[in-house]
Amino acid sequence: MSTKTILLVEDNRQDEQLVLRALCRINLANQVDVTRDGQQALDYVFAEGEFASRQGAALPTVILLDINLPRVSGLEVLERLRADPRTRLLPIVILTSSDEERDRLRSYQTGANSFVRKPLEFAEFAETVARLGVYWLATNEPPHL
Amino acid sequence: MNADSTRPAITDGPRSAWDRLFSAPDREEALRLAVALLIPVVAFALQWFFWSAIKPYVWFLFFPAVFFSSRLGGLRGGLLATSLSAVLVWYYFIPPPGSFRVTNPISLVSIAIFVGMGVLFSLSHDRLRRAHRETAEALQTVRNANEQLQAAHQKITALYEKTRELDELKTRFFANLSHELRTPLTLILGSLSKRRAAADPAAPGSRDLLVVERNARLLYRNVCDLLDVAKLQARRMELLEAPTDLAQLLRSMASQFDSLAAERQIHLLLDAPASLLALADAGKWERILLNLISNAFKFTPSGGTIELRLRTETTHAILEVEDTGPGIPAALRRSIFEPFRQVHDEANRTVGGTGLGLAIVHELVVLHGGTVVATEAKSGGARFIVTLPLKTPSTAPAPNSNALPVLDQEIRRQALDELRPVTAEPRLPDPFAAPDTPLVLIVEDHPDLTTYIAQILSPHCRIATAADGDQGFQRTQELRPDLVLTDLMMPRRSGNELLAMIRGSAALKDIPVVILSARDDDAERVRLLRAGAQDYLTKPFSAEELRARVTGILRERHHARQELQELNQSLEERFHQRTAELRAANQELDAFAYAVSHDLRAPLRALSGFSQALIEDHAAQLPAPARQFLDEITLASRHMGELINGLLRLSRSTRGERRHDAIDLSAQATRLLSQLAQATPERQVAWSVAPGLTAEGDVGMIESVLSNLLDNAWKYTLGTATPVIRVYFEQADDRGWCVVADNGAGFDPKHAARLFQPFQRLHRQDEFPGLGIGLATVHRIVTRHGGLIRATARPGQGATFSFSLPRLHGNQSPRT
Repeated sequence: MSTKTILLVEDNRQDEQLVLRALCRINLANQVDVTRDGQQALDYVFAEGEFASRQGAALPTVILLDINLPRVSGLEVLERLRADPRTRLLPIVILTSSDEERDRLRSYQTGANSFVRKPLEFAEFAETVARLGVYWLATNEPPHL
Repeated sequence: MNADSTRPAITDGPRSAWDRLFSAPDREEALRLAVALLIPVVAFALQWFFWSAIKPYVWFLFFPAVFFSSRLGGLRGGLLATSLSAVLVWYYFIPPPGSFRVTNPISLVSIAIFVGMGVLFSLSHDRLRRAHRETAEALQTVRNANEQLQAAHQKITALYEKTRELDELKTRFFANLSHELRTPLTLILGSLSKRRAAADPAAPGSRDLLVVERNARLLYRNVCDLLDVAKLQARRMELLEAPTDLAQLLRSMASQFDSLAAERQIHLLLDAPASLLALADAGKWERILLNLISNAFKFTPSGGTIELRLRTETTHAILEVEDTGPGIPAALRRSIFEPFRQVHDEANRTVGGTGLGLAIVHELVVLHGGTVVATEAKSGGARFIVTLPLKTPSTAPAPNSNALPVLDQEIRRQALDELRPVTAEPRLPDPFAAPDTPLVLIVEDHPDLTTYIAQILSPHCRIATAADGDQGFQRTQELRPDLVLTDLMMPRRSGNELLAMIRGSAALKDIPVVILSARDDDAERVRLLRAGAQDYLTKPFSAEELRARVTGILRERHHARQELQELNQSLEERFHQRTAELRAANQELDAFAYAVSHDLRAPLRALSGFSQALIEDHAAQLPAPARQFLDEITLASRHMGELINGLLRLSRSTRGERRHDAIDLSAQATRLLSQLAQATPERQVAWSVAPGLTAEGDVGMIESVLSNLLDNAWKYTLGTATPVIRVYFEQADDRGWCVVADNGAGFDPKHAARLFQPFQRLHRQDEFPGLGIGLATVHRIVTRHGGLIRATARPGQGATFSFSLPRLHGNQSPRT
């Protein structure tokens, strides 16, 4: 049984649907869990709060993290995950609309594994997301946590 | 005639005979006229009486009568007597007597001859009289002048005598005064030295005692010098000649200066015979030596040499005193021997002195019948040569005359004392004033005066001191005092120069300067105040006055400084406030741009994404027009996306730090054009970039400029048959320009003003698609670099964009 999952942290429903649609095309949609703000994402990863039932469940293989998030921002989530020994090495990809230099810089400084700008054009967007899914789930060898 | 000559000058000027004939006679003249008329009458009477004897000589007595009448009565008397005589003779003596009838014509001739002779007598006597009178007048004039001369002479003699008397009185007064001063001073000095000998040197008052003594001694010496000059000028100094050994005295005097020479590291050389006997006044000879040697010491810097030479030359003794000091200017070599004369301008003098020393030397040498001259030594210093006539004594000098007994001890002591380097540091009062009180720098070469001033000011100020102008300026620079109090006459650098230096220094020119001067002179005061002095105090000044003026200036300065500080503070506060406001505005702008980049893009992506999804999933069900609409939506959202990107670029071009890189514009342009050529291989554009184009600026921003301009050129040459794009350097209007020229669509110059404004386009979208943001971005970047941008074009004939940047250089290439 495959335990490889993607955690998508995205507050914009439309973007979420577009990501899922792109992953669906390469048959990865069923391995995607979605959380809609930073706090939810943290609860999911650490199996706390509404995700307390996930106690003992495996961590996601990769997290696709937006920066602009309600409650706890993407960069803060990244920071908290990097500060926790359990998630210190968890692959995290920043997936955002921003092309601001400072966002890019801060993401890498905080320990993001990758920074990907969402293309405006859907065709391009779909291709980018698909490539991400394939790469992180199939090509990349994650560390054993 | 004698009476005539003694009478006062007859002053009526030259008058014609006619005038004299008819002028009214005065009393004497009337008397003379009467006598003149009486004479012919007497002659007539005599002739009548003796007619029998005289007959026939009718004119016998009348010729002499007329002669005397004319002599006595002058012109008038002569003529009247002649007429009277002629009438009398004609009537009484010429035959026939008793009538005017004439029997013999010869008689008429005789009458005519007589009258003619009478007139001649009268005229000649009249001339004679006039000549007499003129001579007398001239004589009188000379006599008068002589008298006046004599009176004047007497007056002058009286005046001269009075002057001499006054001069003598003055000299005597001067001498008396000096004497009267000398006596109490001697008493003061005597008791002082007794007091000092008895007092404990560490006792609190002993220092003051020392100051008093030092200054009393100085005063004593000045009084003595004055007294001597007065005596010498009054010729009241007597020469007490006695057999004296001049060489011995010179050696003796030189030995007095030995310790001083060692202290000041001056070589004192002596060249004299073992003995030189002469008739001289030993005391005066010593005085000559003392003054000349101390004068030499005064002007010789340490490390210098003073040479004393004594020798005989036939009938003269010759003394030479030579130093290695600054020497005496040729123009002053005579006048230095006048009293009160000093070589250096008083305000700039480097050594003290009353200026009497050399005058005394001169007078004393002259008293001995000798001469003294000043010349230039080989070293450039001064050389004094004293020549004394040598009178060989018949007896040997008294044995005790070698020990310098004659000269006043005090004078010698003071002369030596004066030459000693001032070792006494001014004593500053302690405890010092609080550290936050103003700092006053006292620049004064007299330590006693410095101490006095410091004591006056110390309760209100902190005190620093400097002993001369040089040190004063140095300390002013180091300490930045709140006020400088300076003397005018100081060694090395005068107060004038110090003032000029302080006012000339940008860092120090605001420091107030108060001048202390001994000269009470309005012109001087005005000159100093003009030169930038804040105040001017005349010595002697009272403690109260000094304190009031100094504290007044300091208080004013304190107020001014406080005001300035407050102003600065409020300015700073305002500046901080503005900066904070600006920073807040900037942050807001940043947040806005950030929001734009994040939040505007998401809905756009949804628009295009879901249109695409609709096409992909439901293409079959959609009618053709619906598909078309969806395509439009996709196009519009793409355009919107580009707009957002452009806007972000525009806002970024003016945000953030600007870097200062050295940029190779040629390389950048070449790379960008190559990329364009690769991206659109179907275009055949002939492009060229001149080598060597460099500038300074933010490499990323400048690339954006070139990229926009080249993109435009590439884009607008699309419709041109043989498109050409050139990048080259141009020197114009005193700056270098980088030019991007194409032969594309160009634009109408009348719209050029809109070219660099955001969202302003000169072409329709269906001609050339675009956002209208690129050139606005270019404009902002170039302007932000301090450069200029301009464009020239004609529709259909291409556009030329030129921009300048700091240090934009290149090779001027001939246009092709």
